[in-house]
Amino acid sequence: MPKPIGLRNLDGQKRAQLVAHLKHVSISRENSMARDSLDGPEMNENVQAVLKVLDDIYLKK
Amino acid sequence: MRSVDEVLFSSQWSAGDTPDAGFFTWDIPENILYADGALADLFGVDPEEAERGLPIETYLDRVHPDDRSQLAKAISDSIITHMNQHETYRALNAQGRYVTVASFGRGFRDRDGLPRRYVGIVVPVGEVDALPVRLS
Repeated sequence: MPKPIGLRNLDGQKRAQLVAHLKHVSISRENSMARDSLDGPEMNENVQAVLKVLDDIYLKK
Repeated sequence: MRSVDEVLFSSQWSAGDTPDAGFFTWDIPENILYADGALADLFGVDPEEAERGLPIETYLDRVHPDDRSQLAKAISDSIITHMNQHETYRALNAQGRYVTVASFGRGFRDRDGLPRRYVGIVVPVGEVDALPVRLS
């Protein structure tokens, strides 16, 4: 069984990439159910674009 | 995050002395946020441009870097979950100083259930950083 990868064992760049990926996954999971629960047709592209702007700002931290 | 009561109670200003609160309405699909002069002053934005409408990024760019991502997430969550939003953060005002503000907002949807409008109010809480910030 492979040993789990600890964040401390990664170099700075790989650690940053992994953290960014995990944040993205977290956001996607947090929001996916809520987004799916929206009534009516799927959110139009403009609204999705605005939400992406906000997500991108959040992920920059 | 502090409660609304805590934020308002801790304000430096007393009743009758409170600076103007800023009002805004945001067209979400078009990403145009219309704001009054008080909000423009709180965020250091040209009042005429604010009234004609600016993208939300213009305002988020004026939020303290340490507060910006949390505010962006709170707004996004509010739109998606259709819940009220209130946050306390620092904004770079027209005088080039960070002022702590409390914002309250909520989204509205159209007949098809799509997020359409977002309205809110931003209240200066009165805690200003001691050192002025150089505007780039």
